[in-house]
Amino acid sequence: MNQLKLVGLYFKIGVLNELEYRVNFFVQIFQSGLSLLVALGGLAVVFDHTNQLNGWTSPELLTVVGVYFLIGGLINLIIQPSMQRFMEDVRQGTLDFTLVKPEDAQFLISIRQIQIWKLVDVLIGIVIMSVGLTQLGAIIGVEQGAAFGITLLAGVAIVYSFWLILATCAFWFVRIDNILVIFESMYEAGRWPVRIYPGWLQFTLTFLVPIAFAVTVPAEALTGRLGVETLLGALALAAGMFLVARLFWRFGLRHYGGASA
Amino acid sequence: MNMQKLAAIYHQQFTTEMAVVTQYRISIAIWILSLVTEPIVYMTVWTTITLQQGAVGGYTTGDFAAYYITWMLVRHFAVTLSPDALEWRVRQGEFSQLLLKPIHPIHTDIASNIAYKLIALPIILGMMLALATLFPPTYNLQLWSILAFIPVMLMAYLIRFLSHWILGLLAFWMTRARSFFEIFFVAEIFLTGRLAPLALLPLPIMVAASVLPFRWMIAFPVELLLGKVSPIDALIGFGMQVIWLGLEIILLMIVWRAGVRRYGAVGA
Repeated sequence: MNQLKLVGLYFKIGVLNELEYRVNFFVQIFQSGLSLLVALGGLAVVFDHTNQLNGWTSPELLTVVGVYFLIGGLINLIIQPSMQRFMEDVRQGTLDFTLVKPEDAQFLISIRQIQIWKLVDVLIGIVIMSVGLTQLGAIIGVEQGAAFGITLLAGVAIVYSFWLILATCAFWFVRIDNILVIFESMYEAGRWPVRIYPGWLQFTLTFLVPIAFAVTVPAEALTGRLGVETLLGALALAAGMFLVARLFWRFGLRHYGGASA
Repeated sequence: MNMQKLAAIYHQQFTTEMAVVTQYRISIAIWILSLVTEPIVYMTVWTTITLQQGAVGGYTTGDFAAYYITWMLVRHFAVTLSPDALEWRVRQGEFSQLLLKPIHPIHTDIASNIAYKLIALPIILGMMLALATLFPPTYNLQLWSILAFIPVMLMAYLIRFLSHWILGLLAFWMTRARSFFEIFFVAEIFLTGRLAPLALLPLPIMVAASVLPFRWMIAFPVELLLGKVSPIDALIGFGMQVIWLGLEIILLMIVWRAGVRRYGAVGA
């Protein structure tokens, strides 16, 4: 309960901070609009020349784009800004202030920075997803809805653990923000279902940079292509990665000597 | 300033920048790795379609592979100083010291740009080779088009460089010039042949790309090297490049003069 209250508190701080810069809201809408234009324009050009891509029809791919925006929005809303703040704190030595607080340090650093305007992307994602599903004329049954919810949660957990593992490396290597550039560019690949890529890239996007589980798998759940094995696999990977990330974090923390120690 | 003096300055800048760029080897390698995702994504999407149903808009599977592998090279040669960097200089007041130098700051930027390209070229070539083994391209190389590629690529680079530089100068007038840069970048995705070869786009977009400078910045050199352009069209394209470069130089002089007059460092 205490933790929920803390999330609420940091969210409120995020809101208060950003309300000082209201123009940013419109800047965010503008930027999201542009990336939406690129995503939809890409789909339009592709489906000008074909009516299906590796078995995915246009409304189904629209659903993928929706999930892509939704997850991307969630990552940029809280995971990425918090992790970047954490790495900055390690560099500056200000992490010590967090460590002395009477709450789990991993939890605190994971929720500390919230960019509320990224909710725009989350909203866009939900709208695009709904439009895609309406075009499909799909009726989302209880099973599909549940599968989508579960895989979405698993996807977020996997991406979070991935970021936490990378960010924890900051305890040893002071500058690693460059690596995050690679994540951002690879995330772009998630606009398309991962199975269209050649094997080595599928492997990379599934296990090294887990975009497949974040975007493609939930989209598969929504469009009714998800097998039970993949669902269980996603859950197992989420649990496994979360555990590894947690252990690695604690190992890193023990290694951390503070700013002037 | 006479040409000889300018050449000497370029040479000096080039050596300095070479040293600067070499310091950031890892950053550059990571940066280039991040650039490779995009062509792979579009290449995969298009080859998935050609494998399903045969050639699209005259491009076979091998053609698409060749297109995007060449695209990577051209994109690398067309790298410019990002307009964000210029905006940064204006906002941070770094422009003040650049203006004190007895040479137009654009020369430093071009020299540094070329140094970066040379340093990073082996990485790009390596990645092109790796991609070529994964996606076998069909090349139809012709001697004349390879030779013509050299001046065309140089012009393409200058057109793109100047357009980004002029765009960056908008920062003299507004604090949120970034939004304009982003519009321009999105236009580049559609109009320079990134999303798809221009032949695959609807006619109005194709016309817009050809009338505006976009086609001549990247798509044209790619198509030329691939042998998709006839000698006459190559000549016409080169003519368009000359026109656009001329227009941009005039525009640059006007914007630069007005901008510098307007520029006042904060605290001055």
